[in-house]
Amino acid sequence: MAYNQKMDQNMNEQLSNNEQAVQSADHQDRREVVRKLGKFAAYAAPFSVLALTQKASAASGKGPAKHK
Amino acid sequence: MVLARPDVQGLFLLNSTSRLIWSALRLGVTVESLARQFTAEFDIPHSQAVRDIAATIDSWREDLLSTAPPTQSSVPYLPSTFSPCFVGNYRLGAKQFRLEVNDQDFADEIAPRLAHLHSDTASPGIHFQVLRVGGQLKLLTDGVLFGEELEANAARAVLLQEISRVAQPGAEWLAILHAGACGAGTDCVIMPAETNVGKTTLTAALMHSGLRFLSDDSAAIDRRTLQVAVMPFALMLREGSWPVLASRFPELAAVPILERSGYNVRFLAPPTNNQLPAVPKCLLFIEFRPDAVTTLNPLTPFESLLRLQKTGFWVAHDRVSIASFLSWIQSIPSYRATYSDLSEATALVRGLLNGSSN
Repeated sequence: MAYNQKMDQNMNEQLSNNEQAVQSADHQDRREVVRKLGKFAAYAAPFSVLALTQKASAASGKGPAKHK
Repeated sequence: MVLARPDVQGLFLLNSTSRLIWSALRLGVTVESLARQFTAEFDIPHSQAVRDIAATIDSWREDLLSTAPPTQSSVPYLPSTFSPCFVGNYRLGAKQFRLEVNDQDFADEIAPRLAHLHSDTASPGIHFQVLRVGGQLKLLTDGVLFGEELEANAARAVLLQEISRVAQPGAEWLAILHAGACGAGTDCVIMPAETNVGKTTLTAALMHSGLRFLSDDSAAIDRRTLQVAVMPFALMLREGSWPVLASRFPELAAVPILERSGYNVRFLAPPTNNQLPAVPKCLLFIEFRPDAVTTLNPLTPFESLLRLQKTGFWVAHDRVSIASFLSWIQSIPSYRATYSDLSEATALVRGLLNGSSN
């Protein structure tokens, strides 16, 4: 598993270099999450999305009208 | 879990398993160890756990953990002379303002939304300018740049948000959602939606039903009060919504037909007699679907954030503001509604305002 070890090393380096990444919503640790999910909890494939936050995102006027 | 970087204008939303990966790696847990834990906890093949964890970390390298330098901002170029093709004087609440535009497409975008606020008084007030410079629309208040957009509709949204802000003394936005908002008394319902799913049509119907109009396109949340501001700008109704609104607004038939983004539209001016903000009772993510049965389903705060990611929103990008916004999202009830019947949707919203979610 050399690949994973290298990935771990790279990840740890990146984590230490990215202190600007700020955890802001939830302060529970991993164990608490696992406890909540319970053993053999339904597996949800991990995903993350970047929600861009821009004032212009409140613009409409594109696309076809759907109301009939 | 929600993460943010100061140099990225956005929020990273992590689901429960993604959060496990993030937290474990911060604690120094190896991928191999975490994969074994996934296998044990979720009863999934080890190979799948390794594959999913690796894919997640790879995706983070592209954005969340990217070391790419942020885009450098430069001092914007603004011309010293300016020849407007459109000038308008308006009044919103107690504020008089003047708008000058040098781009005809933007003038066509903004003028119908402000027409009912026209003022014959040309007295000095707040001075807004929108200039097309080098392919970009520059937005200025009293000579100070506050926005740059490529598209007219994006610039229009930003300008209206700013007009509304300066019209209300002391107002500062914590967040702005792409949403309609209607209310009764001091309360309101915020209705975030993607474009073209019936938001404006429903907002018009709610207004007709006697609810107070707050906003059609942008629901601005005040930083201090967490109330929704009034943005009394005209609603743009596409041709598809005219028949369903004809009985409610017979005067629409006499409104001139304009063309925007390839569609025939009419503009409907809302009342402007009540400028008081309102307390949001809930978020209601709405979607019109032909033949759909009217349904109302609760959403978790994380589900709400995922939906806001699709409908569009802005949050002031600093630690305090993000924390305040997330706290607000966690505290406010949130629902998803689908409907095909406008009267049923209207009754649903009125029910929510009356405290019913059944």
